[in-house]
Amino acid sequence: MKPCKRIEIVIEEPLASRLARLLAELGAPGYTVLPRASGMGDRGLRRADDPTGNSTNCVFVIACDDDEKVRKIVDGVRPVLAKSGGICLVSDAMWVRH
Amino acid sequence: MDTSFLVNLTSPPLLFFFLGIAAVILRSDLEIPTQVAKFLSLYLLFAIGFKGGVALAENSIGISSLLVLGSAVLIASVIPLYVFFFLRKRVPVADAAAIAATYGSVSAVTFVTCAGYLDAAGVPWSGYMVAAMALMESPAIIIVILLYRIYSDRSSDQSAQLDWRELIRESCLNGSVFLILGSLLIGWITGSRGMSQISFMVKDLFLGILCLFLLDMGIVAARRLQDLRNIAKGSGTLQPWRLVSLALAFPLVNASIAGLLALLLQLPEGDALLLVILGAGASYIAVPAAMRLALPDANPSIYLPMSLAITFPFNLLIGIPLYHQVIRQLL
Repeated sequence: MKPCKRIEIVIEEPLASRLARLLAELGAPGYTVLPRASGMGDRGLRRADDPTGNSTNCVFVIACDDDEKVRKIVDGVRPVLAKSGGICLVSDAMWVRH
Repeated sequence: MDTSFLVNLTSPPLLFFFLGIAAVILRSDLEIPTQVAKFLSLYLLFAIGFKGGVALAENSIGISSLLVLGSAVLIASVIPLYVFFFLRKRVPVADAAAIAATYGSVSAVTFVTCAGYLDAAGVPWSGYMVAAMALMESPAIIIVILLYRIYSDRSSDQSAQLDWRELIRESCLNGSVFLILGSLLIGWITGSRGMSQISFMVKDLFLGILCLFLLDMGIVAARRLQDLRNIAKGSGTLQPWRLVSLALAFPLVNASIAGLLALLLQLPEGDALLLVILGAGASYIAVPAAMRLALPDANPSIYLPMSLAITFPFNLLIGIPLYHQVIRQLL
């Protein structure tokens, strides 16, 4: 196992493809998208219950073992979240290499 | 109470809408899976588009129908302008723009329900009204983004970020617009021969599927109504009561604008009601998706409940029979 940072970004689903493009530009080594996330924040409730998908969030999970790259991703994502709402968490994790 | 109100309120689709609301109020665990609800909405767009296309094939397109289409675009352009300037000083510019786009665009489900109401009442309507609906989806989105770029303090920042290709694709070719235009085209190409082949799917199942979809919309609308209490939290701009008042006032004003044009064009009863309901409706499919891309700083907790929890049920329960009565009086 190898130490790494686990980056979790919660963003509204309509913005997911834009964030995916941004992550590629920022050099993210990869990501996993967990769709249909619901919850509550300072912009109100997201119930993920309507057929249009307009009240639905998703979660991007990124594992990165390069501190410089982590900083670049966080700095690049911050202005996007400042406008659209959402959250970015960075935590320590262990990467099971296979 | 007028009979058309009573007939509307006791029609199966509306009663299922009430059932959805009751499920939330009574805390039942009734739920329609989101993917099923999405399928139901796709079915309704397919059916109404195909029916409209067949009706188009059976009647030639003349100057009068082109005038109606032009008027539809005019309505979809005027409404966002007045709503934006009315709200600009009252709420943040991004929220004013998003609300203006919401009311400038159309509600496909309200249109579909109104078409079902007319069918049940035996009032004929023209196929080109479906084309009018598709044409009215997008102008408001483009107009409010231009307004936002002019009036926002951060216009330079926005212009650098805005991807017009992505936005136009989202506003003009989003799934619902694409499906309804495609179905309209296929209905027009295949005409009555095509209708005879799939009439069971397009006609016989229509009302039952509408009932199921409105059951789900009743659940969603009732939940959004409960959420209204928290809307002003954090924004500090619009109190819920003011938001509710606006969400009730805009459809009435917009219906009057569309009604005036319907009178000037001397539209028949069914087409006039459909044009009015297109003006009075508020989008909760195409616009919110486009606004998230173009104006991410607009708060969806303001404009989504306005259209989904207030304007949509109002038009469904009171608006359709009310506008119908007024049109009958004036035509």
